[in-house]
Formats: sequence, C-alpha cells, structure tokens
Amino acid sequence: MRISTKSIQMQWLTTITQQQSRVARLQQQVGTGQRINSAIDDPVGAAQITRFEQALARLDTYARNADAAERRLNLQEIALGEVDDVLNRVRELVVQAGGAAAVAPGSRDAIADEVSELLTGLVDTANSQDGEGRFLFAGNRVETEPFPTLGSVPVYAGDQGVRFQRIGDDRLIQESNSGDEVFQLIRNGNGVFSVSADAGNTGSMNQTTATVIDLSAWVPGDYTIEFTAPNRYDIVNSSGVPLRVDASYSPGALIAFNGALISFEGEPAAGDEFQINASRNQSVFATVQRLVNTLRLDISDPAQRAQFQSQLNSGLQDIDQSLANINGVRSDLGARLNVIDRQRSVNEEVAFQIETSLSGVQDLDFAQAISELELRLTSLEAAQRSFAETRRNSLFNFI
Amino acid sequence: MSGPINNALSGLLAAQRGLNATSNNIANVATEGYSRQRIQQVAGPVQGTGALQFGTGTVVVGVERIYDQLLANQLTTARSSEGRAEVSNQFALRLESLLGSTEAGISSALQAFFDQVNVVANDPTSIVNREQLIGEAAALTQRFAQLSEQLNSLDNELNQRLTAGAAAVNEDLRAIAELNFEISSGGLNPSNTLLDQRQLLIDRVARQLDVQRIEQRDGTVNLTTSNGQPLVLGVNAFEVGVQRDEFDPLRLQLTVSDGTTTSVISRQVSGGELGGVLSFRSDMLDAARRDLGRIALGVAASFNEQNALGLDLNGNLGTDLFSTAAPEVLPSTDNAGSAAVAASFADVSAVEARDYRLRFDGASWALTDAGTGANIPLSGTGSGADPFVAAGLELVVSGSAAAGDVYTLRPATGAAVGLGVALDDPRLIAAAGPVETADSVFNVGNATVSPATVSDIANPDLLTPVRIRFDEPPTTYQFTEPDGTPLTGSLPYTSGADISFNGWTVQVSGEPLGGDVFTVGTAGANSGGNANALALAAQFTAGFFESGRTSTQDLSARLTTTVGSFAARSNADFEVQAAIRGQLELDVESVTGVNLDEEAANILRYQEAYLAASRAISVANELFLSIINVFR
Repeated sequence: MRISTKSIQMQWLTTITQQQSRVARLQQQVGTGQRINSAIDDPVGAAQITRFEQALARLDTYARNADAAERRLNLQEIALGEVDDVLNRVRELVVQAGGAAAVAPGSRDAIADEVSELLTGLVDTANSQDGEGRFLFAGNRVETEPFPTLGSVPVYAGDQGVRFQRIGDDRLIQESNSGDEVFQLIRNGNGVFSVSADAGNTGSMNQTTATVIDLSAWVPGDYTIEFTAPNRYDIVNSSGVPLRVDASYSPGALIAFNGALISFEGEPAAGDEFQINASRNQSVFATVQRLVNTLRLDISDPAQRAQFQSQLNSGLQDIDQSLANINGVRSDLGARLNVIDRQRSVNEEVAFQIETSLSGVQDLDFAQAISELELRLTSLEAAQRSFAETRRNSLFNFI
Repeated sequence: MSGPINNALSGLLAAQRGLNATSNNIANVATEGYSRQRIQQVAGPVQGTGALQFGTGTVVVGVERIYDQLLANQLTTARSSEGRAEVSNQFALRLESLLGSTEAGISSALQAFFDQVNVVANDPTSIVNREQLIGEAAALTQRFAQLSEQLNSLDNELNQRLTAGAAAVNEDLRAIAELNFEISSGGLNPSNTLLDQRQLLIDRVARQLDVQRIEQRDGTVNLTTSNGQPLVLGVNAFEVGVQRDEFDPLRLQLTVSDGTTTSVISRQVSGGELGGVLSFRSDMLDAARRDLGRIALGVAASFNEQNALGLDLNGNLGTDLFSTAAPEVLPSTDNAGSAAVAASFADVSAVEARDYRLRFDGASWALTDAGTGANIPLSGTGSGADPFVAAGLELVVSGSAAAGDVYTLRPATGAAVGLGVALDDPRLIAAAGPVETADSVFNVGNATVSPATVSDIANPDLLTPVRIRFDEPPTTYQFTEPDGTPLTGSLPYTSGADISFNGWTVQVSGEPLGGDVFTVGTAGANSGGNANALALAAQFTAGFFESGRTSTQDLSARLTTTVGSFAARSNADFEVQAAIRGQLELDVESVTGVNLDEEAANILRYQEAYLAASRAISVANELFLSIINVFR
C-alpha cells in the first residue's frame, strides 16, 4: 500500500499517544495501588466498590452504636454491682440485729444508723449518671433525677421507657432499664404474699417463714389470721368471708392454707392478728427504710419484741426479693453485653469479608502492573526510536 | 532542424511542468486537505505519412488531482461520529468526576447526615448532637445545591458550545456556498485547490454536525442534515443558529433558517460535536439531574414522614426537617391559551425520574412521558377539589387553555437545588416515640403492658394520657382519665389481645387483678427515648421508592453507577470512533497524500528528462551550426 509522508507521522503520533496514555494510567494505578481509579477503568467493579463501601459504612455505624450501648450497659452493671454489695451488707446487718435479745439497744441504733447511711448511698447509686450527664435509671426521662429524696423514701420521677441501639442489620440491643423496673417493681414478701403482725398484738408470737408450697392453690388476695384464743384461730379474706373457722393451734405449729405455709414462734394472745397480703410492689428504698424503722423500734416487752421480729423476718424476705431483682437485671445486662460482643465479632467478620472482596475488586496486582508498565515504556521508546530512524531514511538525503 | 528542436522543447516544457507539479506537492506536504497532483502527459500528434510518421514531442494535457470521493465521504461520516463521541466523552468525564465517586458525589454527604441521625439516637437529649444534625442537614442541602449548580454550569457550557458551534458552522456553510459558485463558474475544469478547500470545509462542518452531501451536475455540492433539512443548496447557504427552548428559557436549541422560516433541528442532529452536546444533554445531564433531584425528594420525604411520627423535646409531634420545591411546570412559549397549571406532590414515593408533557387537545387534557411519549392515565378532573393525579403528582388546571397547548412537568429536576432545611430549633427533631406505656407500681396482678404502637398519628387525642383500669372481677377493663373518670364502659379482656384507643395500640398480657392500672400517654417534653431516632436513621436504607423496594441509598449508588458506566461507555465509543476515523484517514492519505520519497524520485525523473531534452536541443543546435559553417 502507498503510504504518504503525513501518514507516517500520523501513525507514529497515534502510537505514541496511545502508549503514553496507557503508561499514564498504569502509573496512576501503581501510584494509588488501586486497579480502579474511576468508573471508566471498570464500571461493574466501580459499582461493586460503591456497594461494598456503603456496607462498610453501615458496619462502622453499628460498631459505634455497639460501643455506646456497651459503655452504658457497663455503667449500669457497675452501679448495680454496688447496689448488690450494699443490699448484702444491709442483709448482714439485719441478720446481726436479729439476735434481738443479744443485741443491746445502743448497738441496734448504731446498726440502724449504718443502714440509714447505706440507704442514702443506695439512692445516690440509683441516681447515677453516664459520661454525658444523663441519668442511667430514669427510663427515657434521662435529664430528670429519677429518685429525688424529698421525703424519707424517694418517689420515682422517671418513666418506664427503654432505649435500644442498632448494632446489626437485624439486631437491636436494649441499652437501658427503667428505674421502676430495677428498683421499684419488686414484689415484697416471698413474691406471692407477705405476712405482717398486727400492730395491736399483745402476745409474743411472731412469724418466721412464709413460703408457697402450691402456687396453683394460691388465690390472690388479702387474708387475716385471727386468734380467738391462744390455741384457736380463724382465717378470713378481705371481704370478711371465713376460709377457716375455729381451727386449733398449738405453739410452733405451721399454718397452711391456699397453698401458703407460714411458721410462727412464740405464743399468741387472744385477739392477735396476722395479715397475709398478696405481694405488692415495694421499692428497694422502702424495704431498706422499713428496716431502719424496725431497727429503731422499742423492744422492751415481749409483744414489742414479737412485732420487731415479725418485721425483721419479713424485711429479710423483702431484701432477698430486692437482691433477686437486682441480680436478675444484672444477668440481663451481662447477657446483653455478650450479645454485643457476639454481634461485634459477627460484624467484624462480615467487614473482613467485605474488605477482602473490596480489595479483590479494587486492589492492583503490582507484579503484573509493573511488568506491564515496563513493557509499555520499552515499546514507547521503541516507537520513538523507529520514528527517528524513519525520518533519517529519506531519498532526499541521496540526491 | 525544427523537428528535433520542437520535440526536445516539448519534452523540456513537459519536464518543467512535471517539476512544477512535483515541487507543488513537496511544498504542500504539510498542507491540510491537500490532494497530491500530477501532470497528465500524452505523446504529441504524428506528422508525415506512410512509413515516415514522426511524433511531435509530448503534450501536457492537464494537472490531475488524485482523489477518491467515496473514501472521502466515508471519512466525512467518521468525523461526525468521532466528533459526537469525543464531546460526549469529554462531558461524561466531567459528569463522572462530579457524581461518579463516592467521595465527591452525594453518597458521602448522605452518609454523614444519617451517621449524625445515629448519633442523635445514641444520646437523644443532647442539644449539641441535635444542632450537629441540623448542621449536617444544611451541609447535605448545600451539597445538593452545589452539585446542582455544577450541573447547571455544565448546561451553560453546553449552550455556549451550541452557540459557538453554530457560528463556526455558519461561516463554513457560507464559504462552501461561495466555493460552489467559484467551482461552478470554472466550467469543466474546476480548480483542484478549490475542490480541496471545499472538501476540507465539508469535513469541518461534519465534525460539528452530521451532514449528507449531494453532488450536482454543475460541480456544486448540496449539504443537508441527515434527515434532509438543507444547509447548503448550490450557491446558497442556510443560517444555522440557536434559540431558546420552547419550555425552558435557560436552554438553547439548534435551529436552521432560510431567512424567512426558522426550524428547530436539535432532534435531527445526531452526529458531530453539536450532536454530542445535544445527546449528552438529553441522555445524561438531564437524567443525572432528575436522579439527583429524586434522591433529594426521597431524603426529604422519608425523613419528614418519619419525623412526624415522633416526639420532639418540647413534647410535640415532629414537623418537617426538610423543605422541598414544588414540581416545575413549564408552559410552552407557543401556547395560545391562558391556562395555568399548578403541580404539587401527592405521593413522593411514587415520583419517578421522568419528565412529562401535559397537552390540551381542545376537549381534554392528556399526560405523556416526555421521553418515551407513552400515555399516562390521569385520574380526577383537574379542578382544585378534584385534581388530576398521576405519577405521584397532583395537577390543578385553571384558566382556559387553547387546543394544542403544552406544558412540561419536571417533578425531580429542580428538587436538588430546591432542598432546604426547615428547622432551626434543634429541640424540634423528633427522636422519641410519641406514646409510652407504664405498669402502675400499685398493681397487684402480674399483667404487664407492651410498648405502644401508633396506628393513627393524626388522632387529636393521641398524646392524651389515658389509663386502662381493670374491673373487679378483672375480666373486663375500662379506659379512664388519669383521675379515674371513666372514658368508656367495660370492655372484655383477653390476655395479649390488641387494645386500641386514641390512635395507639397496646397489648396487656398476664393476669391482672381488679383495680390494676396501666397508663398510656405521651412521653412528654425532654424525653430521652430514641425509638423514632432509630427509625429516622433507618430511612437511609429503608425501601421508599418503587413500592418500597428502593431506598435513597440505593438511588445514590445507582446514580454513581449510571454516571460511571456512561462515562466508561462513551470513553470506549470515543476510542473506537477515533480508531475508525484514523484508519479512514490513512486510507484517504494513501490515495491523496504526498510521499516525499516518491516526489524525490519524480524530481530525478523530470530532471533527467529535462537534461536529456536540453541535450537534444544542443545537439540539434550543433548540427545546425555545422551546416552553417560549411557555407561560410
């Protein structure tokens, strides 16, 4: 084929331009370490990269949420651990004071003072705040002090709202418990019923244990055991309907009805009454405050001592209920912290896989790229050299 | 002696002419559009009779332009294709750098905004977090506005390209018409140079817009657009120009005019740089603008709708965080009637990234897709009370329209720049769930109440505190006011069944006792609840458009991908078209181009012929002199 002089130059120019742009692209790839520097390099790959990056951003968000939830849960765990310690100390002190005869009135006062101090600490703990100054146990009223100590026993000012954080595509984690749930919604007595001695009792009888032996037989409601004589009693319900009339009683005997079993010690006097009430919610603070009140009772005569003992025994049950509730919440917290840990490792695993895929799509095969770059540079140089040769090679040089 | 002298002289002259042509070729080796020339040389007529017939030397009958019109025409077409591909690619790369990367495009701003929503969900009562969210919202609207602004400036640039291109084409068309005149007045032997010049100009026009070339008998050439609209007829050139778009005054369209009538040829131009400008504008720029606008609409609507379902720090239901622009309605400048069309969004999630035309045929209105022309059924009558509803839009027509009046509807195009932040008070972000429930601490039974779900956000009593109080026996319950005043009679209780009132629904499960109370009511001011903030944060990835199948995140990824793959395609197309043009140019050059080696050989050839002819003259001269000397 006939080749014009201009064609030779044009072809050379085209070749050189193509080689140069290829070299420039390779240099950019080697420089950034990325195979795809814009969608033009590989539109399908670029679309994948966009999706991967979105997924990674989402996982990042979950990680931050998990950190925030974990921080709060840890703070709650610390606070409730302290509550647990305090309640156990209270329990210890109460048991110690229970050997009523052995404990002198003065040291009972001292115990009462200490329990009272512990109560103050307990309220402070229940009013704990997180790093941002939000109350941990106020439900969603995070800016309101949940347990303001206006009277002797604080009244809950929060609500029962709980908060969640998203820590996975389909995973929300509860990051708060309301103060109601932790400190207030605690059933007193044994959780089904509580026993108290009537304040007007004159005998030396007090209840010791109160248990449920058959929950299915229990009929929720309030009952009264009335001693008509030291060895006779009736049981009536709150509507005045007798369940048991003129039953015989001997000291030390157990009284069982409706699946409830109550043991007593001491001797009742005629007219003595014991109230059996379906369990009510009683806050941790009320429980402790009642114990303080009990510890300050005058126990100079047997009737007073019996009242003291009755209150102490039911107070211990209340403390146990509180401890069970607090520890129930704590084990929930622990379980949630575990969920966060598990979810975090799931997220990290997913992120790792996405990053692997991302680098598979995006990253440059350096060995290949550099060898190609060298090849291109060589052929660019060859093209330049060959043009110079061609130019020298003209017939005009010979005429 | 005159025979040999004349013969030699004719050879001398022919060689001279040959050298002339050769040197002209050499001189024009770099001249654009030059076709090499060579002399057409024939032997002179014969003298004498019988066996004694002698040639009379040589005659140069013409100078031939070496040319292949078919190849040249192919090259002309290839130049149009290359021009279109190059301009399209050039602008596609610009668009890609604006929208095609995650960092520069809208994706990163959306991500930053929703990350901040998430931060609010982490600590909903923090005013700082909320202020930052409003800040991120403002940054997001700014990003939308910036991108929109940059797309507008691309559009302006396209306008300028059209104006400048039209001016350049005009000049060339006039020059072609003049050359037509000169060539036709040259008779049967038009000047080679003029033909070269005309071809060069036609190629230049073709580079701008695709033309068809029709040869005429008189040597002139007619040029038309690819569908036959004349641009040059013989010695007359038409005027190519620009005028404002019928609907959009900011947009120019290409026109051609014969001096009396002007017609828009934008739709007919598919090749050349101007074709590239027009196709980039309609295929890519407009689409990108609509897509971007639709993302803005989606973010605003999905966020606002969810925000209205929550409770702000003042204890009120949320209001709009984002404000949006109404759909654009652009009447045609040709409309004869005086009707006004007002458009608003009926359902943003049904809005598509399309433009529409609303046409009045004298009796009724019809809506078509501006891109495909497909008819879109309209419901309603178009009145204020009963507007037309279609494609997520509500259209109210007032005034009187004339038959043939047309309006263009652009629901999404202006949305990106129209996005604004409507809230400045950080307390008004509705992070909390609106309705909370609580078990009373005085309850004796073991029943509990579930969190509330809202079934009717518009219920005026939604936030009014209500109690659910169980009767004795606890097989029934009543709704009461907080002070115990009954609101309803006794209703039968089933554990776990839905209990709905005032627009909310809860479930009470377990065994309540008589007198047990559950409260349902607003969380009130300063709630630290984050139920709605979690839902707000999920709006980014929650299905919204296309019957809930497509989220705003999907749309933003799709935009990135569309722009990227368009750039990749146009890049590949440009490479192919440039290669085709290059190959054809080589083919044409191989016929018409000057080869210096060849010309060097020609010089030698003509030089030798010249020298030999001179020698023949001098020999004849010597012979003549020797005869003279005999008689001296």
